[in-house]
Amino acid sequence: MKKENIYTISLLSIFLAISILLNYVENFLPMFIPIPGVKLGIANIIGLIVLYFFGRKKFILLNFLRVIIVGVLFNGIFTSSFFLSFSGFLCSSFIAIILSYNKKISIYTLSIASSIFHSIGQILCACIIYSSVYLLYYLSILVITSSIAGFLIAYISSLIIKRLEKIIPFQLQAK
Amino acid sequence: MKFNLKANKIDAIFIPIIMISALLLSFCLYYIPKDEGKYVSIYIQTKLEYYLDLNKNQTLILIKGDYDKEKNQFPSLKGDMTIEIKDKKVRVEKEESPLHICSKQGWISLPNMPITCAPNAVIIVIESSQSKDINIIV
Repeated sequence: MKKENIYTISLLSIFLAISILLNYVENFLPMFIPIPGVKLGIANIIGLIVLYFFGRKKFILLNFLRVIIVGVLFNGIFTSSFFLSFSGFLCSSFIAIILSYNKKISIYTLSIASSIFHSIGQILCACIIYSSVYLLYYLSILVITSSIAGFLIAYISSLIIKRLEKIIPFQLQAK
Repeated sequence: MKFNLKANKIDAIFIPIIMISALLLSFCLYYIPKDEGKYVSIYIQTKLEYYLDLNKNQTLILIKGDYDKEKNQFPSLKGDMTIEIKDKKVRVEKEESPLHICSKQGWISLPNMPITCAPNAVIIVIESSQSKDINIIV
């Protein structure tokens, strides 16, 4: 195996471990708005970093593995929580991938759109699981909170990316 | 896959559009006058189990256990759950869940926002007088 591949796998493993940890730690943060689905999504910082440095395929792979591992470790696999996370992952990753093809799009729009679609995916999945359209009412609040969270995540991610650019070898980074 | 790390014109258009749309949506859902709530529907595992009178002060205690409607026992609950109806408002007073989101949500009094307790598979909705015709269970 090439030295570069080993280096990439090691880095992605570290990023995956950090994202799982952030996912877990987030549960201990105080909740200011007691509405289901409202959260900062700090694990997405890692997602944006991986998308920036390693490209779309590894971004999808990292998020997919994170949802599966968090499901296995904390929430249980194939439970309602797992399906909610998975639907959020599918929608947010889909929009992030679509938007990433436009080179003019900034990290802010990418993150906010991704965050909003995460909420939309989760609410639609919840409507199916609980057979209730009433849950759509949450969407109005979730769109606002997701926009704010997406903006904050993008800002933090951009700060980290600028520092990591000096550390991660250029030849490992996706073009 | 590099993308811009700095905000640009697209952000200046996109972000305000999203925020204004979200605020308009919220306005429509919350501030457009609605009928006063008359009943409280309690769904457990997607099934409408209780249909209570919102005008009558009462407390409903749901218990974890094998399904038995007479004893208010439901298998999906993580622990006992207390639902209180008082002064035309409803809240989840006590429940067992990791984040206690539904008990933190507090009182609701209008048919515009349900109380959802996902870990217990419980959804509480206030219905207006125009809601579906159904016999009052309790």
